[in-house]
Amino acid sequence: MSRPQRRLIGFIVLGTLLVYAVGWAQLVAAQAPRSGNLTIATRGSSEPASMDAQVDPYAITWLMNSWVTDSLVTLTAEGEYKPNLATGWSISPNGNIWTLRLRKDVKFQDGTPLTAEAVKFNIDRVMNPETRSALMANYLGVRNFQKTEVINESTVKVHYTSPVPTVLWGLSILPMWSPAAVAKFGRDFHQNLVGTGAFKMVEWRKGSHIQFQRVTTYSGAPPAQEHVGAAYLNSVTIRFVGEEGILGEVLRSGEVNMVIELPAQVLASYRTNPNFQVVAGYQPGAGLQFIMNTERPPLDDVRVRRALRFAYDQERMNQTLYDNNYVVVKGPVTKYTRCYWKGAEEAYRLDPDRARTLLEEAGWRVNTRTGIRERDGRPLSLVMVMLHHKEIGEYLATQFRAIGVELRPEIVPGPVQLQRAIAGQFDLMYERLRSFEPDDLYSMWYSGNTHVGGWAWSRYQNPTLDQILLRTQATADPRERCRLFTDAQRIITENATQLPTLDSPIYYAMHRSVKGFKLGAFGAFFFIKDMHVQR
Amino acid sequence: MIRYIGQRLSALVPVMHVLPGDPIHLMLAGAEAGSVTPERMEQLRKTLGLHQPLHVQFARFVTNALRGDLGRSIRFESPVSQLVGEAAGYTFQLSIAGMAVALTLGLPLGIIAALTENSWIDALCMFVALLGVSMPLFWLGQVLIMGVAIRLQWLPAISGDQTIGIILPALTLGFISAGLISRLTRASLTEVLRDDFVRTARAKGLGERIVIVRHALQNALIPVLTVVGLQFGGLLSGAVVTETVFSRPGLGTLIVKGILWHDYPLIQGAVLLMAGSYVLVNLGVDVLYAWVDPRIHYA
Repeated sequence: MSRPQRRLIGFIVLGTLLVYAVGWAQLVAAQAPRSGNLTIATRGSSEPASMDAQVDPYAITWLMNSWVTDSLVTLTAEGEYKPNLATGWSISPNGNIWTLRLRKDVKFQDGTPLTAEAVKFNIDRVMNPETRSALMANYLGVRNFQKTEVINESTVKVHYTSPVPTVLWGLSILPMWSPAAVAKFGRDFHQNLVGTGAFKMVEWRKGSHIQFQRVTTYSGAPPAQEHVGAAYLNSVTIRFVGEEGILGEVLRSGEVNMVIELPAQVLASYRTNPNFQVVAGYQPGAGLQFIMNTERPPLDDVRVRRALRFAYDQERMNQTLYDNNYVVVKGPVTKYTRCYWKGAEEAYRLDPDRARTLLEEAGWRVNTRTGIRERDGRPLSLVMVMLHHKEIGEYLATQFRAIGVELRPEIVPGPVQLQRAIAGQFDLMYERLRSFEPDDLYSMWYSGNTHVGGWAWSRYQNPTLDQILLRTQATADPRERCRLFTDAQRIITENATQLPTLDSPIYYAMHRSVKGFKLGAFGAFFFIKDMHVQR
Repeated sequence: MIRYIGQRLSALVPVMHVLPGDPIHLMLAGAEAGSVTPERMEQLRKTLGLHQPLHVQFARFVTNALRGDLGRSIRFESPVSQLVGEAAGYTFQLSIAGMAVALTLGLPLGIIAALTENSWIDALCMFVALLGVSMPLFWLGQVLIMGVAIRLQWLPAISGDQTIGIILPALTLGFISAGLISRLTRASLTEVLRDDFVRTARAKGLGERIVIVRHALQNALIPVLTVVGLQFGGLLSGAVVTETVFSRPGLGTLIVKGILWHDYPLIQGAVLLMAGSYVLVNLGVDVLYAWVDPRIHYA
């Protein structure tokens, strides 16, 4: 055998061994038990005040509750409602009575069984004003709620005075708690959650972290979970990071395996690094919108409101501020919302001349000395109340300046925003509600919701819009609801009662060793039970 | 004089109750139309005891506090004593660790600078002190996190409640305070070193180490001790920024949340604890005076 032949054979043998070695390594990895400890970092401001989603209205609480307990209904990643703790449901012909049939083999983490009585307890608890449930009671139709009735051990009926179209959405995020545990812990229950889920809440160090431990005896098989039985992860820890700059970097230090709400500014560096994966969670509901105070001058004049809509361009804003990493929003809801009205995209295009004409028609003349328009000696100056994203306010201020409008963005904390919304002390105010169903439109734009605690902060009064929105709340037919909701979006857009800008997707960044991540039907939600950390 | 007294007395006005905003309104955010009635709001106000006159609310708070009951947080739905107790533990740990760093850095720097007065070593020490005095807390904290935690990965970026996590925030807090302590130590020691009793000690033939440690330093430390006491209070307030930058639980961030949500019981409990700790720290400083300077006696 010649020397080149021997070399060739040597290469072949070596190559074959290498292929076997790689294959073997992959086989071993595939057969290794899936487990691991997942540590997630998220914004410090996302830490809930209460860990009970029956009370707390924020998506992160719904998410963490979904680890501790299962819901009666699951909203799948594809946006379908499927049975979970309930084996099925039916609605009476008039749409007023919901019958829920329950699984018979489910136990809470304290060993007590999930029965119709327990379901009644949970629904009644949400409806009870003493519980101070915010959004959850709305979604479950507190306005039309009559009673919950136990039919037998595994059947429960919920009675309403008229149809409630958001019941399934409400049931998909309603956590089921053990009545015995609620009684045992009383007002401290929110720190000692006891549900039916795959994880148990074991520690909550306020201002630092919340820790969950796997329940090894868990035997549930929610529709969104690919495997039956206990979760793969041994533990999940969610750590709260006070500084956005640090949140953007902490994954690189290896302290955490995953980040929720990665700042858009550092996205590019993660996307180009093969050690990390980035997933965008697009969100339904209102985007980063600024509702206008239609009750007081100058925004009580539709011409002024429309002028503002013609004075800026969302695409340019997205490119300038966020490298196109945000989503352009041109109407009252994002394009990821059910019953989205596409007409909003064509309603207003950047046209400063038209904006100036509208302002002239409204009697606002430019003061050549200041460059700001005035009427009766008063400048056209607007206060914009924001919680974050100050750069959007500054960008708009520059754009509005070109048409002679002064915009003053003010960053305030959440509670101050609420106080100013209640008192009507603003011209423009950040307001964003996010739910899978379009019913947030009803919450934000029905004029009956201007009372303390309501979300109709713009104080917009339009009898036609009110009538349409009221009908959305009494109509069960999905097609008819969509028709009504698109009509509502058209009226809101035509009357320019809000400034839509962009929407920030929730960016999840994780180390490549994190496997099994599956996004939910809305950006703020993901399914954890198939997740594991590969060694 | 009357104006001055008036100004001082105005400090007694409970500011939180004067500020615009109602905790009941904040609690009911998001409730459904029709479910928020004036009756329900009034009932909630009664449940929380907010319907009573301010002096009655205050008297009730004092009476309960004497029994060890600080009430329940409106926002967090938890006992105030539990919330404040947990947070205070972290804040005091950080303040003590920060003070340890400040003394370890500040005192030697000041002593070295005083002993090498007007030399390049003195200039270098005072330059470091100047950095400490001038650097913003949040900036130094972020620089340390980026360098030591993210790039070098020696220490955690998220301090949390981990023991090792206290190092970076303590260094940040301590370095800032060390600047002032070293400058004061230098000034005080330089002055004392020129006093007659130091000259006498040297003339008696005492060794330089004894002259400085036993005679000069002991006298120079009295004004430094006063500042250390005040700085400890400063560390408690500086902890708010440090806690945020290092994602660390503590009293500072808790109080800020309480103020924003008009959580009166929480604010009262936290302020009571902080005021108490100021009193105790000042007492500690006064006791130390007597220990450092035998001429000081308390009857």
